[in-house]
Amino acid sequence: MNPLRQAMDRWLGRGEASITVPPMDGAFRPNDLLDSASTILQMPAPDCLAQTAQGVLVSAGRSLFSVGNPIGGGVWSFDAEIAAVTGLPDGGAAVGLVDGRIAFVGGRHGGSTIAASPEINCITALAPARDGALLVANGSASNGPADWKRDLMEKNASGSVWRIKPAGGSRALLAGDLAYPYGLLEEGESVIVSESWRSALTRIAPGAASRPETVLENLPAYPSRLSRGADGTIWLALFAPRSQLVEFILREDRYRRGMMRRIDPDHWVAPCLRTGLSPQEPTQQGSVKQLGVVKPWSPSRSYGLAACLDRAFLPTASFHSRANGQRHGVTSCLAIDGRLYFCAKGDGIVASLPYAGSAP
Amino acid sequence: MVAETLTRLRYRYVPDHLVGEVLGRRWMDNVIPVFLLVAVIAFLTGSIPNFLAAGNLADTSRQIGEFGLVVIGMTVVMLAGGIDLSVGSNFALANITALALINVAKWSVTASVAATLGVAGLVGLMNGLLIGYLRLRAFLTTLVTLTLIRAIVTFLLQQYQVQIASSDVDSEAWDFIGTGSVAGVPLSFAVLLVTAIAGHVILTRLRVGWRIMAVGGSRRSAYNAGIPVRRTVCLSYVVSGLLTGLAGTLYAARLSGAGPDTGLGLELAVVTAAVLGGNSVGGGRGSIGKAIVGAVIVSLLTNGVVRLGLQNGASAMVVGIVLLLAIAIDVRWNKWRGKLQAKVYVSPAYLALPPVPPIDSRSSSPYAMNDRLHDVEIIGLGEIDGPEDVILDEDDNLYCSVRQGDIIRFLAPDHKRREVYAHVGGRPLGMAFDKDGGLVVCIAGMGLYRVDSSRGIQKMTAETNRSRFSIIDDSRMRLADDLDIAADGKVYFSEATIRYGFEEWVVDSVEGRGNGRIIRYDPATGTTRTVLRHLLFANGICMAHDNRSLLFAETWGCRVSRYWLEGPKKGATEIVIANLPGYPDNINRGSRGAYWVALAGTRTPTYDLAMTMPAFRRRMARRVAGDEWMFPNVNTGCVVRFDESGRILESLWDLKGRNHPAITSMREHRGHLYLGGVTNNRIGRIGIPDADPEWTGPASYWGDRR
Repeated sequence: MNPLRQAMDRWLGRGEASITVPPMDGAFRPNDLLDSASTILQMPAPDCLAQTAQGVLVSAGRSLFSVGNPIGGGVWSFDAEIAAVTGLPDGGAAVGLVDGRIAFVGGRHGGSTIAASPEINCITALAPARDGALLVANGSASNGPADWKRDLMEKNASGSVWRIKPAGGSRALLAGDLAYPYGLLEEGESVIVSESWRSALTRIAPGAASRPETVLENLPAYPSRLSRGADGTIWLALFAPRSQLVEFILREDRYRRGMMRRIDPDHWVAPCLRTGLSPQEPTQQGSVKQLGVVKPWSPSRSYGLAACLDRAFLPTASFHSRANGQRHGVTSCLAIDGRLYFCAKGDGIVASLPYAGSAP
Repeated sequence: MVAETLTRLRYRYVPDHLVGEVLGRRWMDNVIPVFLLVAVIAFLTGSIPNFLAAGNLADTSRQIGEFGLVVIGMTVVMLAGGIDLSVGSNFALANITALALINVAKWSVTASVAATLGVAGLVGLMNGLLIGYLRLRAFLTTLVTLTLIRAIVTFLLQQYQVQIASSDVDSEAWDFIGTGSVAGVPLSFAVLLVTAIAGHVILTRLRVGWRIMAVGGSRRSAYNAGIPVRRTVCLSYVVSGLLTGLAGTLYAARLSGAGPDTGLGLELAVVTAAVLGGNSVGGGRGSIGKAIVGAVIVSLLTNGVVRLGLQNGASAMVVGIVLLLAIAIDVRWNKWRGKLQAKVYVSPAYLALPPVPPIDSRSSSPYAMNDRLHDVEIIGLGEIDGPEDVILDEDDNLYCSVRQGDIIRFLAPDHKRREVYAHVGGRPLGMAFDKDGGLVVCIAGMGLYRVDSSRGIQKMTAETNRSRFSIIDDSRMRLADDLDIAADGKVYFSEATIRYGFEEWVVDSVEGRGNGRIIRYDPATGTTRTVLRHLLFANGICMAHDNRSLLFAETWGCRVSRYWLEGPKKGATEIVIANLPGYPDNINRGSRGAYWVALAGTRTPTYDLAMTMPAFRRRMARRVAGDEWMFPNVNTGCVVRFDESGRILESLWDLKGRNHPAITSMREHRGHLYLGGVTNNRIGRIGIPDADPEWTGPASYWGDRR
């Protein structure tokens, strides 16, 4: 890139320096469907959903809970926080822990654990592959899953996707230099990855020679986990909205560095799973309460959003919890028997709603 | 740290904000024409020897005198929204009329001049009647007049040309008009100067001038405002005709010759001059000064082209090209200037706030967050829009100032019944009761007003002394915010910012410059004086309990200061609370010698950091949509009680912001605190356990003085 052009762009706010954010329109037209969903569980920070022989499980903190049977308490507990979980074809589940270990519960490999490795220290998503292997998304080479805000603010693209054999634990790198891979889905021979910081879905084809190919880009929010329903529809959770202000901050290196150095990450100008927890959080002009009401269209650093994609990975429908909603920070969603299960991590809710009629 | 210091000094001493202010001034319209004038003079002086010699100047200035008169006439027509193409023919008609009367009919000079002016004025009147009253198109009508009058001139030429040329006039007065000078200034130039000054006074100071400008600016609005549009338009053409007649007479006396090419193409040169000077083709915008500058440029150019020895016709070509340029600039200038001004007007400054005190609910800080405002009693929910200030009278009636320009009163004792106490207009903000029970109100966009006890509304003041070097007119009050009344009756009130109106007050937060001030109004003498300047959004004002000083809040500075009105420190300012955890709004007295200050919002570390990076905020203001701007957190507020020394006694928060997200005002009254918010739709009332249950504001101020 021409350095002169870059300097010009920065000065005039064009090209690379422009801070345009795709509008919530078309398939992303706002609605209040997530807020109308019926609550199943309320717990602190439910993070990831998985379908297993035990029914739908949700990870929160160090435990896996059964969504269908809330009274039962924790189904499994671990000695470290759970970073991601996925159901396996044999009815078991693979659980990624924040320290990089992967534990198996139920199913063929139940009870076994794959030890942590230096390359995989930020597990963000897991998915089963057809050949019995496990796909692992490593969000960042330098930050753990709890430091995702820092990873965004450092503008990293150091994530990677791995294929790991459950028996033996041998691993192979499928792709590197990804901007925070946060969701995985096997699609035929290739793997679809949601790259949060690029707001895009990327296809990783087999064979190291082929470069990752973008299948969906310019999402209005940061994408998270992917899942496939029994009817073949693909579901994408989007955990936080993009905003002009954050895009602007990402282009203001001096301010961003000062912010990272001096300020608590909870108070950064950055997307988050739930806004308004502290009066020291940044505010935007449009989100000032008027006559005691937060307007649903006001700019917000958190949002609830899940999208339905067709087989070509184009969005066809979306489910929202707007600025004034109470289902923010959706990190995972699953479609089972005509109902969409989702966990709103920011608001500590697992809920479900029928999606027939809202999505094809 | 060095970089930090450099940034601080850079933003302290480089007045960025002046660029936007200069662009906003009307006299900026003159910059390009004046620059062009200087360039033309420099070029001609450089390329023509003796261009500035006395003889040449005298000759040129006579031509400028005649030409300038016509340009003034054209400017008046253009200001009223029209155009007069008939000036060229009218000029020729005046010329031949004057010559025929003097040379052939042997009329006296006075009679001839009067008759000539009459004839030319009649042509103008004809235009005026057709365009003003019959509402024909100015362009086509005057084009027709141009042809008709030219035909008459041709006819007259055939009749009298030979006679005029062969006769001789023996009149000193006539010679004086043609070649005389007044105090060394050629007569025609002197006439131009007198006309220009008179024209300027009429256009800018007299009713008829304002009407002309108004009609040109917006014909429909002028009509709706009751201005006789038709008469005004007609009048502008008469003025143009008369001035053209005057110019024609001067020309006749100077050259004593009539030919078919007299005044030919004059209209084009005149329009060029008027537009080049900066007068808008569309009307409503322009001045006599601009006309003169334009006239001088065009005269010098046409003259210079002749003297440069360019080919015949080159002069017309130069005028044509210049006209094209002038019109292009006229059209682009307004848009371009508006855009540029919008871009550069917001000019953030460097502001490093002191460290924020802890507000964590577990800390022992007096600001520790709590939910004491959770259980407020709600008054008027949904019935009021934005009670910025609340106040109670001695009979416990509750007053608030709302967005619709009303003072709403909730009647004692239960404050359930509501009435519009007074409709004052504007955006009423701070309020205070004076000694006679009158309610003095600061109204954004209007100034300081008073509602007396029989609900009559009087203006107290809307204008203060203008500061010497300010570019924007800071004598008018744009955002009078809060006030208090001293024991001697003088009213001290704050104007939050002189650069923005109420609707844009948030933009001032991005600037973080000392744009605010405190003004004193003395009802005894009717004088208004600015007392303190360069305050960071001057907001709450409160007289100290002993009336010897006043406390004022600076919102963006997150501090409360004291200004001494008497005693040894008279005139001095000292900081009372240096680092509040939020943005202070109104300050009011409380019982037992305490004061209350409302914090409209909480300081956020990210915004504090941004305040030390002006360039960052400037880019934000330019690139990020207004709704997305980073902003002080005004969704969580509190009220703070402090004593005379500035020690914090307690703070009351509404943590969830359910009832009182932003608190802009509070009043203590008989053991209760009443809360208002500029973006809220309710008033809150909460008991204060340790307050004096008998204490009221009016008694505290005036109890022993009534």
